[in-house]
Amino acid sequence: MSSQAATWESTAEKKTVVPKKAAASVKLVDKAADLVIRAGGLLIIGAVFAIMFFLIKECVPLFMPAKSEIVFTKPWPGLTGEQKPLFVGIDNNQAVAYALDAGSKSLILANAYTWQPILQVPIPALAASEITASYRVPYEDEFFAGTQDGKVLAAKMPVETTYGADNAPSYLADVLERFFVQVGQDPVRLVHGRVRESNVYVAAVLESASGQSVFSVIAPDGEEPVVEPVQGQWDGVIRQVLMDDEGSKLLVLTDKGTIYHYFLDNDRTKPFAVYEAKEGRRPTAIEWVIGDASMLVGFSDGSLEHWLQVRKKSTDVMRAYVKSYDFDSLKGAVTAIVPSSHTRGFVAASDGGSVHVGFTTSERTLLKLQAPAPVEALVYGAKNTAVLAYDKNKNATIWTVENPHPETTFKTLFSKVWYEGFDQPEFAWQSSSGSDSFEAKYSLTPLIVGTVKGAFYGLLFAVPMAIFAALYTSQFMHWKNRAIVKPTVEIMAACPSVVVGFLAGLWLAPLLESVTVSVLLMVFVIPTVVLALFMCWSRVPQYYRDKVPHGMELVILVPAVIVGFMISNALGPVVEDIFFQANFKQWVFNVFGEQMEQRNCIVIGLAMGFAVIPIIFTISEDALTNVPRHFVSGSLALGASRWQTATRVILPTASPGIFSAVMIGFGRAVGETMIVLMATGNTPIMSMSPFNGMRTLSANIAVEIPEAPVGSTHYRVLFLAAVVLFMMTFAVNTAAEIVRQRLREKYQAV
Amino acid sequence: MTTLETQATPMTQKSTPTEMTHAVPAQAMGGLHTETTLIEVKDCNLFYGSKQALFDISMNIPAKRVTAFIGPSGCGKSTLLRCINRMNDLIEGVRIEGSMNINGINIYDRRTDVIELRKRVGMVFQKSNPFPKSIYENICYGLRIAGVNDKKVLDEVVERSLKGAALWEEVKDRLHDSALGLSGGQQQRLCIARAVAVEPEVILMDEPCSALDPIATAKVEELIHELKKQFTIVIVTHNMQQAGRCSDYTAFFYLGKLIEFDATERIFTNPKEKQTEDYITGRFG
Ligand SMILES: Nc1ncnc2c1ncn2[C@@H]1O[C@H](COP(=O)(O)OP(=O)(O)O)[C@@H](O)[C@H]1O
Ligand SMILES: [Mg+2]
Repeated sequence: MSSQAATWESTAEKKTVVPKKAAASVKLVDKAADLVIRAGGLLIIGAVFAIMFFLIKECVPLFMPAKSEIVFTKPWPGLTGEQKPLFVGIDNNQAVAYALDAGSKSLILANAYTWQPILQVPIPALAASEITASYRVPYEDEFFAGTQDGKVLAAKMPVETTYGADNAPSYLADVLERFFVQVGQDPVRLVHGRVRESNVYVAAVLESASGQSVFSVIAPDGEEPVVEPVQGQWDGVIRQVLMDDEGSKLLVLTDKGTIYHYFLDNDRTKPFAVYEAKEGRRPTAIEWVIGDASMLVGFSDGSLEHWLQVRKKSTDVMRAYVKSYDFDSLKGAVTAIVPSSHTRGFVAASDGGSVHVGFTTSERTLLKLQAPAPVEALVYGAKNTAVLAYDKNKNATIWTVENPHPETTFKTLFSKVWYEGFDQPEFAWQSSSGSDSFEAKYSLTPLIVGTVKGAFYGLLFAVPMAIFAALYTSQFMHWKNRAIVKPTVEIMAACPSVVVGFLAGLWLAPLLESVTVSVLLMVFVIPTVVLALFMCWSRVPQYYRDKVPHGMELVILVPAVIVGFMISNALGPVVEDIFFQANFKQWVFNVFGEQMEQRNCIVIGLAMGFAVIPIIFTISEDALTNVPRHFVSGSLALGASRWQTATRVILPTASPGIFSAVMIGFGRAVGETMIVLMATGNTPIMSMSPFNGMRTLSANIAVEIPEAPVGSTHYRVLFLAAVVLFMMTFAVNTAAEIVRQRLREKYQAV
Repeated sequence: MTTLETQATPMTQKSTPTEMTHAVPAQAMGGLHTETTLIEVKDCNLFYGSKQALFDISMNIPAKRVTAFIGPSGCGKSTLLRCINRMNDLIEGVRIEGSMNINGINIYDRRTDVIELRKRVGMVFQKSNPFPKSIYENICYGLRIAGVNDKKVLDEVVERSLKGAALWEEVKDRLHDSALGLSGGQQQRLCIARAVAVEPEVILMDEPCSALDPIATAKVEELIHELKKQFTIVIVTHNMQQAGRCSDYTAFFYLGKLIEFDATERIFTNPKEKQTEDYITGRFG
């Protein structure tokens, strides 16, 4: 021991200072490199986490519960008379509250924050009559009033707030008469209506000694209103009428809880459908949801339902109502329902003083507020951030409401939702449209399905191709050819995916459409021709075979592939004639009931396959090449053929690597954007069918993020789509890594 | 057992009888002339590209005996060994002249089926190379690729081969565990068992003990002793003692040439060639 130590020392001394110095600098460089690498690694992990954090931060508000605060409960300033106001409202800026005062026959305006009276706007038309009915359109500055002497007034009441130099508000309010028409001789008891693009549609109920009569008052485009009666046998006193914004649907609710559903265009003498109340539970309040297609129905026991129109047959034009959603019950009978002016949200109130804020399609009761007394009138602020309830004690209570994303829940994002116009709940992604009453549909499920579908068909094509190519290249190909083939395939990966997508969408898709059968035939014909060729080749005498230089067997493959291609092309129309009734598209439609689209999964498979083949090929080839040679020798020495060796020893040993190659390919395919954007139809459908296209998460984000206003639900849902995409790739990669480790343990090569 | 015999069809060349005694060159001494020749090498030259690795090798390897190849590194022992089951075919640019007969059949004949040849001439490598499969599947491999899948036959062969390789007692409880969990010596004996399982006539061993510790080496040597009752064994070794202990005949190679081939006893006690003596006494090598 000691002698050895001595020699160590002596050699160190002999070599003097130089090696020591070198060692110090080497150590320094080593340390620096270690530090840099460590820092780089941490930076990458940090960056990934930061991205994830940012994405999640943008989506979290989607799932935040609604918040609310009571502002005050005060009597309405400046109201005269004993009667309650005929209606109450808040202007579009949520700055001014107004009420129609039956006593002074004027609009009384108050500052919604300070509750100071602002203005009183008299309504001259009504000066001479007693107001007996009124209705304010919840999302326009429009109202209707009915009088004791049988007249109906339709008027607009613009309220404007302007801010002066000292930031002091000044107000402008007016009442502009649209029409004031004599409907009958009896007092008007109920009035309801809609204004759409200067068409006015009103329904009025007149009360006489002999009974009650319903009229429609329709004034198209500023013309003179036409008054027509609506006939019917009503089973009780009419409590409410609803007129839709096309002047066609009319609902009549009686105090027995029966709802009569008319289509006036079709038949004004009898209802199209009658919905009768169930025992002990009758509707007490009804109102359209924005769009006037579906409606909310409040009941005497405080329950609240959403009803949708559903077709019985796909050819039906007129559709009856069917209950679609249930909301939390209110205390006491429902007395008022007000829809939101721009979403499918609503506020409902009861004579027990409950005030509920909800959202129809997400089936959510967002807030449960309590007013001090039974509620008689309700307002939902135009921005959906304020609720005003006017109660029996003649007090107005104002709440602020904070709930920017009422329409999203896990259910609406991932599950089936029953939207207006649908005959049953469905998965739907439809994020934008021109009109305000359009409801955005944000189900991510079709996009997730589309993503998986695109990746699946891409891999269906790419995996066999890439793995067989890798097997051939690594095990059978002459090394000189391998040196060319491998880099060439890798160069494929450098082809920008936008080019691949462009070619696939604009050139390949129309081309394939006409020769689908031939292309499908190629899958079988080309391998058959190649195999046949190899059979023939093995029969060729060794003498001639030896003459072909090593590695040139590839050259004879080229004509084989061309011949296979030509055979498929020639055979295609024949096969189509015989087996597919001369028209493959038609045949697909007949057999599968699906329209074959031009941009279908064959195109996607080819284009996506082209994008992922290089990576799967490269990694698989490396894995196969890295199988130790001594396994090959061991197998061959036992009398195995090269094919047996390849399939029984090399493939299983390389399986962890091949598996991760496929998974990395899957990850690429899932994240691939440009190809799917250009080569698919981008239709967000729920179908794994190979005959149509898809819309993937990534393409969807790319298409829609420029048009989504920052902070909107749409914007946040797109971020959620990004999170889902992130999680999908994360899950796939993690699963892949775990499986790979397992396989590796099993097949570890020494 | 029976299935295996039907499996082993005679080699494609029909004209030659399976057992044949060949005339032994007159200069062969020490009982070699009384042996039955199994492998007959005649004027064998081998080239790796343009580089010649073997020069005019001629020798008769006797049946059911252990023949050792000794010589300094790079003298061509492994190369010659690989010629016997045509493993050299896998190496790019190898050219072989001369002839090599087993049972009188020229294995380099165009009509010879290499796969069948390798089933008859098994090989054990310097580095043990069990497949990353279970012990059981490693032994079965040769049978499975020959199309034998009957579980009863496989079970029988596995047991017999492992017993034959003196490994049965050690592994019988974990036949379905990975072979890579075995120790180095066990792995090498497993490779021998794997070769034995296909019932070859010849087993070639290329320095089978060079990576093993002395105890494992002793076990393998013992095994070789047992195996020679059934098989013709050709073993390449670096280790003179090993050649002395377990071989019947020894061939000494030097720079690609066969210097001397004789009974082991004679090579070690009374070599004819000066080079052989120098090598054996450790003067070079
Ligand atoms: N695959 C090969 N390619 C080229 N030369 C080789 C190859 N294998 C062996 N050789 C050469 O052939 C000669 C004999 O090698 P080898 O048979 O391995 O010797 P040994 O086994 O006796 O140590 C050596 O000179 C070696 O360099
Ligand atoms: Mg060697």
